[in-house]
Amino acid sequence: MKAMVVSMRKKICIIMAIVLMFCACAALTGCLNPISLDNYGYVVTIGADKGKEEKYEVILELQRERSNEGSENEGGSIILSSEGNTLFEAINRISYRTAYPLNFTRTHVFIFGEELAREGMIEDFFKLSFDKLRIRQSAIVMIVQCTLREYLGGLAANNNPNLTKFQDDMLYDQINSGQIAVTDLSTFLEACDGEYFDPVTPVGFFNEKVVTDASQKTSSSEGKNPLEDAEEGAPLGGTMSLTTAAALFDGWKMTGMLTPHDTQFMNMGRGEFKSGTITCSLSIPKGSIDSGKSDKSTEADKPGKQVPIALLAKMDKRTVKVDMSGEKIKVKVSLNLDISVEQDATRTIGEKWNEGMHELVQDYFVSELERVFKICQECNSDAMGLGKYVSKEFRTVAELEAFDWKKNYADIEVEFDLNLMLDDFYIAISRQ
Amino acid sequence: MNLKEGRMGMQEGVSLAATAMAVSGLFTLDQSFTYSKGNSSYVTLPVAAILSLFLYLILIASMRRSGSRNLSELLKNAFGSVGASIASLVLFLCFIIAAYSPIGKFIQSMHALYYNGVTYGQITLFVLPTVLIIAWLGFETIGRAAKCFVGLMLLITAINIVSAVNEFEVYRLYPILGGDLRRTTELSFSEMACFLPGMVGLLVTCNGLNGVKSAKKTGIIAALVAAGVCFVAQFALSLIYTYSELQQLFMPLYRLNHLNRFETQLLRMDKLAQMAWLNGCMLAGSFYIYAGSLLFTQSFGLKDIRPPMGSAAVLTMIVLLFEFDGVILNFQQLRNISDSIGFVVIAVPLLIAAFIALLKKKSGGALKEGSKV
Repeated sequence: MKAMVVSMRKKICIIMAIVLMFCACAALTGCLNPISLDNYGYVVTIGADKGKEEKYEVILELQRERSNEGSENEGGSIILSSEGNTLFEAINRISYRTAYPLNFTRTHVFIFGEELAREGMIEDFFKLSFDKLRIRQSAIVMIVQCTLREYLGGLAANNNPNLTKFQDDMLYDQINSGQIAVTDLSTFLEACDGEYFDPVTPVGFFNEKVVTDASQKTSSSEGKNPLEDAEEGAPLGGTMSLTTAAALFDGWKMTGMLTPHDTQFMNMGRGEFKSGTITCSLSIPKGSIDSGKSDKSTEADKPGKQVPIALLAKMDKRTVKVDMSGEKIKVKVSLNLDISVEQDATRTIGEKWNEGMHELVQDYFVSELERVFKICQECNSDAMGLGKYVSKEFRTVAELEAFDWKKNYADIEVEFDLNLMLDDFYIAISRQ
Repeated sequence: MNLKEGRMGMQEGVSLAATAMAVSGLFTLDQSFTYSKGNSSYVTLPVAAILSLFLYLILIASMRRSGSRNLSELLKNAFGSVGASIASLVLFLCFIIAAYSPIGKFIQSMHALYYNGVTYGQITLFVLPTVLIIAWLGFETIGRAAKCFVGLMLLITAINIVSAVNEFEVYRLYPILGGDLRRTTELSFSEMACFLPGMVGLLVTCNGLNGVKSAKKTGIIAALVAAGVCFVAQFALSLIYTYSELQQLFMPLYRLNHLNRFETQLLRMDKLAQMAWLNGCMLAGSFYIYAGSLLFTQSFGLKDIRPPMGSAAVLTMIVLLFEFDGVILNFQQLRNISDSIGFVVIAVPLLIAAFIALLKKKSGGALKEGSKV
């Protein structure tokens, strides 16, 4: 019995030693060719524009680490650039000038110049091993309408203390406003390689007139009026670089661009719309205004006039049905949207919802969806991702691979079936 | 006798066998072969596990009827000493390949995805000694260590899958199973190669599992657990990547965490997941090396497992070095054949052994050694 107990104890000791050995292995993961985390230069953004001498001008934006919380002039970014025929060539040249190794594990945005995107040069640029650079597949791909230098310079000019939040800003904008179309690297590559749908990316713009947060802070700390040099009507605050809307692609080639308003409807069509305020002007039909408040009604309240409206829309459900039985492929996109009235000076939408306003608003949404789909179709861009549903109609891989979706895309017929629900009725008819 | 078997309960046995089979099923498939004609792996892998279980149950029934206490006795009953030695040698080599497969893949993944400027040799020196030390300490140690880590591995796998839920899209499943039933059937059989070493390992180590009856229960539960884990993980992958993407992705399960767009606490989970799965890989490697060595020791009538285990370790290292030096690339044709019909090398001799042993039993020709049990 005693021998058994001793034997058991011995076994437990051995097993505990093994467990500790495994735990120690986990702690040793950084011991192969170690470099201290502080010694890296962390690239947060990789940008590429057409080069003057060589194929690409590659611009890398690095987060400047804050040495301590108290120091005011820390933070912001370091911008490095070089020309090269490939990303690796440019990185090598940049490395000559920097005293630290570059690390791409925190890269979260790829930015391309519009000209480069329109010529389809992104495909060639992306022929690289993301594994070798340790780039995460969640990095966002975007296009800039200005030059890359202007855009990144505009971002850096605000001395942003945490550039790594740039990606999050775009994602939150997509969720809260729907005015931006966000696509990550994984989806971008899936779209371009798979050819069942096309990618849509955010677009960056540059406005040099903006009086940035940083310049306001600098002026006021010097005892000056921060707005004294600002041009009249110049936008105040934020950065000179802004990101919104959507660039349309036909495979690897950029073929068009949508406005922020159109992007909201495109996002609805592709099922990526979560919520956002739709602003428009609706023509209120005659006789829809309650005569009881006519004394105080403004010009906008008069029947038949265009009335500015703001509706908060929330996407509830989206279903897509495909009919391939006829000559043309027919796609029916059904959307369930909940709307709340944010602005309607006439209050007609709420009061007459069941007496014609429901149809009026619904018709407006459907006509906008059809118009935006037409724009996408003209750009040969399946931005709404309808090809994903068409691909479900094939029973074998051979049939699917033999089918050329993009060839058929120009001729498809799309019907939008919208089901609008009015939320918060009491807000729609009152001033609350 | 120094067979380092010890004794372990069902929980340890299930943890060990399920870990070994799930690791082989999830991390050793050749992606270009498996997904070349669509994605049906979320069906073929569980079916392969069930088919392996059927074979296992046939072998267990045969062992019980012929009175064999473990696989080496069954082989001796069926083929005689010389035949059993030859069959054991073949199975020994299969165990070496089964050990090399996940270890090789994990070393490659660490080299490609995590460690900058580190050679394969350095990573091998980090991984292989751990595998060998655990195998050296014996079956009971491997089983009990597996029980300690199986929960962690399941948790990490679940977290990784849940963290990628936002990326799920049903259209990626189409065409369902590639639309090719014949191909699905072929893959179900070929993927038995992922599960058979684990199941056969249990048959070899029956004594450590407290006999054939206990081994039967252990095998059934382990196969079902492994089938379930493989189904969940492969189904999640199928919802995240199209079959054409999966053909090009090395170790796709590792990449799930790379799809998180938002900054969350799970952002850098991939490194932790990699370490947890690496533990599973090392335990699977240890189990296969131990089982192969034990079979060899018993079949050749040796009294000490350590010399065969040393040989098994050296052989595993040689195959790994061949892999990293590119020697195996010269035998790509052989590899392709092994991918499609490799399971035959394990399944056929064992099935023949099972039937011969049963026939001998019916005609009263069982070996004395077996009939004493």
